[in-house]
Amino acid sequence: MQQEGFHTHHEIGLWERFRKGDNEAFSSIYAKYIKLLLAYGNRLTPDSHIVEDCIHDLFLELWARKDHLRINRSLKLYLLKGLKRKIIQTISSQRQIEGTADGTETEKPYEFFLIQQQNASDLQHRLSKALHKLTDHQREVIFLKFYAAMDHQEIAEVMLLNIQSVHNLVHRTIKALRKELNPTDTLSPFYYIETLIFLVASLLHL
Amino acid sequence: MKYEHYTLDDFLADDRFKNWVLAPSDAENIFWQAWIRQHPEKREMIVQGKEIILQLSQKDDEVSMNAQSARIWLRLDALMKATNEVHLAERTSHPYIWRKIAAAITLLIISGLAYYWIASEPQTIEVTTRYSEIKSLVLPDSSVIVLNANSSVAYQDNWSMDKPREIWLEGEAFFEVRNLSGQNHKPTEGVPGHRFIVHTDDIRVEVLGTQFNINHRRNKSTVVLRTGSVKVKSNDQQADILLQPGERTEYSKVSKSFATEIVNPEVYTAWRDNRYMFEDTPVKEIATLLEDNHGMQVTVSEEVRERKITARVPSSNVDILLDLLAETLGVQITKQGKEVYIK
Repeated sequence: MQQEGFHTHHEIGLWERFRKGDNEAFSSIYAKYIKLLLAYGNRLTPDSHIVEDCIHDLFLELWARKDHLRINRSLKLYLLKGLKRKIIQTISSQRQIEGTADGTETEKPYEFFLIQQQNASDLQHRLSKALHKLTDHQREVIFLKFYAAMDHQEIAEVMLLNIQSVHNLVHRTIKALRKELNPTDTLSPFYYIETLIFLVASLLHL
Repeated sequence: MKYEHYTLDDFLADDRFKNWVLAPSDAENIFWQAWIRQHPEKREMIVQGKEIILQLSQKDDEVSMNAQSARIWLRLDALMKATNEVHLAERTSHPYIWRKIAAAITLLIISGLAYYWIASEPQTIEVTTRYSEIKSLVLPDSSVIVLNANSSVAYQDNWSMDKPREIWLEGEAFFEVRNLSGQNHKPTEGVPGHRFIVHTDDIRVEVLGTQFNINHRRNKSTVVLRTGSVKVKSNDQQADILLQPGERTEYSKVSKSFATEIVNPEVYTAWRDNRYMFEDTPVKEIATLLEDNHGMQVTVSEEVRERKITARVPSSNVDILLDLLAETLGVQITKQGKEVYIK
């Protein structure tokens, strides 16, 4: 798979031109990542003002700090992590200021919303319902893995977990998802044994 | 190898499988297709896994994302073009000091750079499509345009409330115009920015908040209205007409008048979804379409010219389109490069 980041000539050229102050390069970078950032941001909070403000600030900082920026691995990772950090900070400091006013708000640090689509097919409906039953962490890992097409190492960095936890989380999540999708599937004892073997094997890095 | 013993869950968790589904390369296609042939008992599992992964990676609604994206970019762009005077936007819903200070410092850094940038000169933005290419774009007021093939639009980037929103069109485009005048859907006297005007060579279309298709090709301008209401005026001020939803009007420079008829707007706007919808459409019109949108040179024999067809055909691949036409009409269509013969 093509690693997102600076592993192609085009990417390196784009980044270098941006660092030299090329507006076009900056807008190309924006165009390249904005949809992904919007998709992620919109799922971290339903407040679109917060999402837009945070993305705006993210790119502003990118522009303002471009001479000092060291991005080791991947710009995609940097942007996603940065956005998540900003949104969480915004939400938690907002709550500090407003206080737990009416006490009916029991908002967790972030909620992973799902955007329902019109004209959804049957599988989409079933998937949507199944995804609703997962936990926030589980939905987030699905988003990062399939929507943002990240590998487990990248997911570990964004979710601030170690990679083994990511392996386990992915495996648990897929299992939970499939259980919701096909409640009639009886899991055979062989399946449990296979799962156990898989987990043990991955622990021993076989 | 390992895939032989995989369950559906294992495939879903596997990065190589996922990457093949989401971003197939030739090499991977060869690998997987060969593997499936060697393990036909796993075929159904693979199909299921592929379906689920594609669903989980489904992208969000484009239109609202475009609007969000445009709003953010406008703010960034405006900031980057800032002059020496720096205004801090009051964001009353986020009144925390440290962010304002950070923003102030950032803005000071940028305004130093901004000195070298062109400050207030309005730039003309021009967007063009090639043959067989369709583009969507968002205007500074978040209105959306879908530009058909072989067309172009031009507008100034400095839209504001003190002048009408104006845009020049050559070719064909579908407009979804944001209504800025609030509830009453009528432009408020004294707020020029509520008006939205599209210019072609022959006509001006003034709109309020609405969806419509404008086509200006071969010296004829046609407007088809889907929702809302528009006022269409000829540029020489000789004629004008108020258009209702479901109406199509054509302006002829020769007769200097508008000819209006009631139509199914979907026929004239299906191209946005990469489809053409024909309803009793004569072949000669289809030939014109192929020439205007796809750059073909079409010759149609006499017997076939006036024949009408009703069909829905995909438009993104010209060869498929021609095959379907040939089949539906029962005629022979030959294509050599850009030349098409229908007999």
